Amino acid sequence: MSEEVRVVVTGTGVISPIGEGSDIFWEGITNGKSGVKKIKSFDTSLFKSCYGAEVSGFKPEKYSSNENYLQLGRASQFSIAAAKMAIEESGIDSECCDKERVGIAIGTTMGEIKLEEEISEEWVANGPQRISPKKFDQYPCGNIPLNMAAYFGFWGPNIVMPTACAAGNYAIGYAYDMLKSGRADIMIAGGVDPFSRVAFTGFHRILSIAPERCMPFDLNRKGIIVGEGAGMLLIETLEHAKRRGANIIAELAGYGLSCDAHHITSPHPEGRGGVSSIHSALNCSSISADEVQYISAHGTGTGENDRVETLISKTVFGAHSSSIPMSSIKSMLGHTMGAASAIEAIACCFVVRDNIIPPTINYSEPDPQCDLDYVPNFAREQRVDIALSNAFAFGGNNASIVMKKYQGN
Amino acid sequence: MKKTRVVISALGVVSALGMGKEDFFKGLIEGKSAIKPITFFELERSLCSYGGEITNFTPQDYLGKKGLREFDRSTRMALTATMMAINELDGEEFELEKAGLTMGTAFGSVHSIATFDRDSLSEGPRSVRPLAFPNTVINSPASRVSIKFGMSRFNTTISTGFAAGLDSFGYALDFIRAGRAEVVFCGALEELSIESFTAFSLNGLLADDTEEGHGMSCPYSKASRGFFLGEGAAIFVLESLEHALARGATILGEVAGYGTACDASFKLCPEQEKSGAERAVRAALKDASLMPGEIELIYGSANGNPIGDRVELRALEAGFNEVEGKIPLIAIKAALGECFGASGALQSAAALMSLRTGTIPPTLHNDRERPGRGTFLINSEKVVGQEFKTALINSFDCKGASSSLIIKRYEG
Repeated sequence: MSEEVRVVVTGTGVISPIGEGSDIFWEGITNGKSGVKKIKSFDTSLFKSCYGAEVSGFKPEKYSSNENYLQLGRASQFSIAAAKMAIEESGIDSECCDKERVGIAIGTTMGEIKLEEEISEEWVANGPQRISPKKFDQYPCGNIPLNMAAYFGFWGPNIVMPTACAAGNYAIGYAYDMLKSGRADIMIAGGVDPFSRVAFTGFHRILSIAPERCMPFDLNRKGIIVGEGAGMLLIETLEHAKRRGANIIAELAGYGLSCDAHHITSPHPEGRGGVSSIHSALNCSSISADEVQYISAHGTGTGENDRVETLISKTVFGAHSSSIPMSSIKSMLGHTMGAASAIEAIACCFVVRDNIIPPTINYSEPDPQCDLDYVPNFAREQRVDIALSNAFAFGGNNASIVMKKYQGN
Repeated sequence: MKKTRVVISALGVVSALGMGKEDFFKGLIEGKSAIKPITFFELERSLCSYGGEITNFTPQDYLGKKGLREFDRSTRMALTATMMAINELDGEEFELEKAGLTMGTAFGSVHSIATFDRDSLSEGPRSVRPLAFPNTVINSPASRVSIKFGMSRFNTTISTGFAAGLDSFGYALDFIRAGRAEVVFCGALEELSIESFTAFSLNGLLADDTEEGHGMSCPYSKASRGFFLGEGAAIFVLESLEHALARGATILGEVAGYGTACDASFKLCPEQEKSGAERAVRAALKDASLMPGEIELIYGSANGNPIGDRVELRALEAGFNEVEGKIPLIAIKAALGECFGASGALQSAAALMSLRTGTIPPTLHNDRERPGRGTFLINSEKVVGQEFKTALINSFDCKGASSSLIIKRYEG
């Protein structure tokens, strides 16, 4: 891999429970806006909880009148809408770039799960015989990046990594590697998940769903709020961006991965995997621990995650950990699964660009086991040059990325 | 900059033709077919009922009797193949903690996901089993492999359709070359399920088993009507050459190069315009610093879907248009069925065995020895006593994902 190749972000697109569009999203989270409300997309009367973070009022026709697009599943529609916004912001002229060198890397947890849910509903009601073959055809998550490639005509490397709640960071890391190794000039990278009744049912059954609000790091936190959305970043080499006079939002300095190899749903009690992925990311970025000025937490709001995540920070950053602001935007967006770390990466881009840190909302009672600075309830203006974003997923799949302020020449 | 060389030091195979790489390859060489009536789930009468099922799959023989209950079929295949690979490793031991793991699968535990959902709908959400929930994420099999054996460097699941298996190799190759890991357990898995069966049957893609010669899958042949589904898993241990030599490991082969490309389109593209397959082959050759004429064997992607088979032939003819002579082209999906994400890994396993033994298996039910322009030779009988140094392996998805891998004999 070339040491000299630097990787930058020149476009972003967000579909989120607090609004569609990066500017609306950023304004929302810096104002502590919550996207959590009563779930509308299915009947929750048999569940104990009925709150979620849905993207209400998404109209695909707002993004494109293309017939093929309008017939795609929700995950693909979200992804293409967010990618479109990122491409527009980047100013990439899709006629002028070499389309065989523009790739797509996506992370997701459940993929086109709404199609699976429709299939299952019909299967239970009437058996499988008359289920629309097209739904089966579009369900596998490999379709999502291929649908994006078909829509935009981008024929470079194409991949999907269904690595649960860390998937967005995995995709961003892959995109970073494709650019560093010269397999692509431009990568669209990010994550997506539509609201999943399957995920909601599952988390509900393992008693991980919060009754009403997501309260990361708070003493009375009760679990996650399931959400949906998409986050897409347009990433290219610095050289490529400068050559076309692009406006550079932030620099993707590096990433790291690790695996707990411990338990399928619980984190390692000392967070050894998280510690490892952070060190790996810092190493890849040539940054030392004491240079980190903000951490975007995985911060799901479960008892275990938040306790262990605090411990991970203390292990990596030592005494310095109490002075690094660490906030969880899941407090506002809920847990958007595969989209989460991609949306968090976009938030980090804006943190280093604007020197504003989004809050952890719903924070009222400190937990003695979680005693770091979680930026409670209100955003904070503070200079941040280096932001670290962590994602710790089911199965112990961990991924961390580093965003750096881009300071020009 | 010289690329780090990446070698193969172990291989575990779970297949419908045999367990372990030797039995798997023996089944292929002897011309056995895994395509037979499905037994482990009930099918509607109107659906195709043939497939490459792994019958008498006994993971407990490899993993012990305890602790398997919550593991679904996908997970059991992945664990078994990994156990075989670990058992084969020789030389000085290394800590599994330092290894990474990458797994390709197109559908993952689709049966687990669907049954969880159907149960929640028919019995109510409070009646689903909590322990069934973790199986509903596609990275579950890979995660369980790490939990059991300890690989901690990284754990990635890739799901780019048919190409997932070879993309798993590409990912592992790049990681070792970048110095991120010295050892990677790299492989793929795919399970047969009533869901995938129903899906492909309803889409009219499966070969009809009511005609004369039922159960026949005919890649590259004029008689081809469609494909059958199969299942299996293969896990390779990849290491940097330096790491393998330092610990005195037996080296089975070398991974020379990888290429990937995409030609997804909403338009019904004339086949001539589908360029992804050719670009993937060229990219793999470039990555391996090889000329087309240096490829001695091709393990093709063809599964009997006439369009997909033609696209591959056209791509190969374009890529090899300056090569004279007949390169053997082998389609193991005739014997195994289409194993989606696992196919590329199983084809690579067979390719490795061919390089080691100088033997190539027959392509079953073939009616055209020299399809297209005659650059390639499809053998209906096994070929023995040859020497092969390089093999190209393809996975070309009709939806637009194309990947190719090149494996070489290791000669120092």
